[in-house]
Parts: sequence; structure tokens; C-alpha cells
Amino acid sequence: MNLAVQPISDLHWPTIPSRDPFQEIFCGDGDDTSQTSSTEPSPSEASYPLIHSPAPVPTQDIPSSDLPYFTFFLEQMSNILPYVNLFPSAPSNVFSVSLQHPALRHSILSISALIADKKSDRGRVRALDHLQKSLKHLQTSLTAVEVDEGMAISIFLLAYFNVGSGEHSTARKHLQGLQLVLEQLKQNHLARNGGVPSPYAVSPLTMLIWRMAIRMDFIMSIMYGQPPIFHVYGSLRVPI
Amino acid sequence: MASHLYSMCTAPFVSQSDDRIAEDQEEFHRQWITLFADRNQGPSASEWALAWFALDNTMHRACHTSAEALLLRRSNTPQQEIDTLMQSSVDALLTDHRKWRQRQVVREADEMERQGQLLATLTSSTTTNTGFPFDTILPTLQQTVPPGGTPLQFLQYPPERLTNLFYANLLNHYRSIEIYISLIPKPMWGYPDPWRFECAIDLCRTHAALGEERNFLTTGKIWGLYLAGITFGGHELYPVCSVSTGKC
Repeated sequence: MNLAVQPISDLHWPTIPSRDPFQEIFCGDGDDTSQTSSTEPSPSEASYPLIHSPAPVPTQDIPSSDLPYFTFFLEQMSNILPYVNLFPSAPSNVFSVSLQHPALRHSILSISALIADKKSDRGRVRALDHLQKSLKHLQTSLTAVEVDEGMAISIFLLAYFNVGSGEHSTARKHLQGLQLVLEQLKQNHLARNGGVPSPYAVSPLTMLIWRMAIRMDFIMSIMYGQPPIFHVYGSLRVPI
Repeated sequence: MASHLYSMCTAPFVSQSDDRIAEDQEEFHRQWITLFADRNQGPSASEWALAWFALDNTMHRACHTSAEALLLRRSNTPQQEIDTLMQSSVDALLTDHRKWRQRQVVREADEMERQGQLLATLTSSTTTNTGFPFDTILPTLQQTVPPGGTPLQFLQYPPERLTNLFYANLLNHYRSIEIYISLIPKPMWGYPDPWRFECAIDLCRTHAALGEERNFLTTGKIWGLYLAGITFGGHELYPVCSVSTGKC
């Protein structure tokens, strides 16, 4: 499989959903899931078809030479992240959320640059540059106590970046941060929803990211001989 | 920078677990999983997702138990009390873990593997299509060995003919967790245990049969083989003879 970054002229760009990228997920018809033999694309997949089109992202803070990293993310992360064979629309959904979320956008670019540039011996300059920008955006949001799902996904990708760089101590700190952000998202939902818990308190995409984080948590726990960060599933205090 | 980043947030840490709560939570989470899982694969995708998550939950919980065991050993708690506490935790973990094999989607996959193995034995010299309803257990429609082919074999142990690579990977994940849990009370290299040994052999047989399939459980595979190595305990406990030289 060729993992080299493609030239810009070969880029595939997703269409921008005209509505909130989480809307399909929240408002999907539950009855559809009972179709056992359907070969139709799921609503979430149908929302994000990949077509040839000009770059839709605000690119003021992203040099054009870095745009292929988005393609790398869309095409290769399904081979890298766990569970994506069962949730194949996850990478494109993450990308869709990033269109409106600068921190996540730079997280995507940083992890993609880290992996793609390592394979082509191009160093870590681009990866570290985007990591720095992502951290800056996150810091601004956290200082303003503006917690959202894009932030949670972004933090997960930063943790992944650190795992990939062998910086497990930093990765663990990000996982701690992720747990707190997820807890805050849950509290925010409860406050909005009259204290009634719901499986849709956060989007399915963020729930999947939480599952990926749990997996990362126990892998790091085994590798480095330290207790896991996330609470035990089945305890009264799971984050979501 | 990362620790400073989250200094605005605080949350308590509680690591107790409860089987009933876990079951409730699974039903709770089933809703978003059903909504988000690949619908092209039918309802089995969400069932497999739940099964995979359940294994990862057990592994995560085992890591918590292992960390607590380490703390206990470093404490001034009397050894007998430590042993009792650990055994109790490990027994509870193993009991919950083994329930995984009773999940419907797992039982169906087990049965398919059993029938596949049986038919492979009966028709090993033919290339006849078995005609099994493989599509009932998607996302698992992948055969490792072409009809009539021979799967790779672990040492002198009987080769396994796998029907379902996805399930085979999960099953090895299950076996890895079983070995890991069994090591919590006695984390010792080469400690003889016939049951653990059998588990490690099964893991390696399946790994050999998987061949060069797409590796979607990379970390899990490495971890499983590592644990199998711990179980075999090195040359002193289970020497392996070289087929070519006859030397051990």
C-alpha cells in the first residue's frame, strides 16, 4: 500500500455538509438500523461523499503544501485507528467536524504529518508545527471553559500523536484531560436535559473516540506498567 | 504543557466495578452503536462492536486490578490477606470474562468455526464450496485459506482452518486477556499451569492459521504472542526442538 502523500492536484475533497455534522447522527431514524440486508449507504456515509472539488476548509492558517495531509487522514486512518472496520464513516466524520474546529483541524494535520512524513523521511517539522497550533487553540478554549466535542476528538488525536512519538507521559496527561472534557460534556448535557441521562448526550462519533481512548489507555497501562487513566467500565463514574 | 492545559478541570477517581452496572451500560451504549455502526454489514456489525468493546472493557478492568495488585504487594498488608484479596478479584474478573463466550454472536461464530473445521476435515481434498450462510456473521466474510489449501501450523499441533478472521482475532484477544488475568496473582515467568499452557497453544495455533491477513489488531496480536511466550516460560520449561536439526 502506498502511503506517500499525494500531490495537491490529486486531492479528493469531501463536500461540506450544509448542516451540523452531528445532525444525521442525532436525528437518524432508528428504524433504519433494523434493516438486516441493506446495501444502501448509511445516512452518515451518504452525508460525506468524497468528490473532486476545491478545498472547502478555511485555509488561512494552513499552507497549501499541507493540504495533502487531509487526504492522508481520510484514506489511511481507517488502517490505523481501531474499530474503524465496524464504523467506517468515522474518519470522514472527524474530518467534517474539523471544518468548523481549528484545534481539531490542526490535530488531524499533526497526526497525519507525523505518520506520513515518517514514512517518507521528511522529519517532524510539519507535525510539530500543527501540534503547537492545535495546543494553542485548545488552551484558548479551555481557558474560556468552552468545551465541545471537537475538543475531545482533538485531544484524543494529540494523545495518539504522543503515543506515536513515544511520549507516553504526555499521552497520559492528554487522556486525563480527555476524561475531564468528556465528563464536562456529560454534565453540560445533563444541565440542558433536566438531569436525564441519554446515550445521545454526546454524538456517536465522540462515543467511538471515547472507546478508542479506553483502548489506548489499557495498551499504555500494559506497556508502561502504570494504572489506567479512565475509570473502570461498569463503575458508577464512567465519563459518559 | 499538557498538564497545564487541563489545570482548569477537576474530577474524582473511582475504580470500583459492578457487573450489573456494566450490563446496564451496555444496553445504554447499544443505541449509539447501532446508529453509528456500518449498516452495510447488517445488525451483526453493532453486535460485533459490542463484543469487541466488552473484551476491551475486561482488559481495561484487568489493568486496573493488576495495578491494584501491585500496590497491595508493596503495602504492609499480610501476605495471606493479599492472596485472598487478589484471588477474589481475579475470580470475579474471570467469571465475567468467560461470559463473553456466551454472547449470541460469539456462539454463532463458534458454531460456524466448528462446522467449518468439520467440513474442511471431510472435504480436505476437494475444492467444493461449503455453501454455508457466511453472510449471517458479517463482518467476517473472509477465508484465510483457499478451498483445498493447507493453513499454516504451529509446531506439531493440529492446524486450524478458520472461517472467520475477524472472530479469530477477537478470540485470540479473549485468550490473551485470560492469560493476562491468570498472571495477576502470580506474575511469574515459567510458572507451570496446564490450563494456561493450553490457552497459549490455542492462541498460537490460531495465529498461525491467520497467516498474512489484514492486521487490524496489531497491538493485540503482539501482546497475545508476548503472553504466550511468558506462558511457555522459555527453554527450561517447554523446550522446542528444531525440526531441521532435531536439537532442542
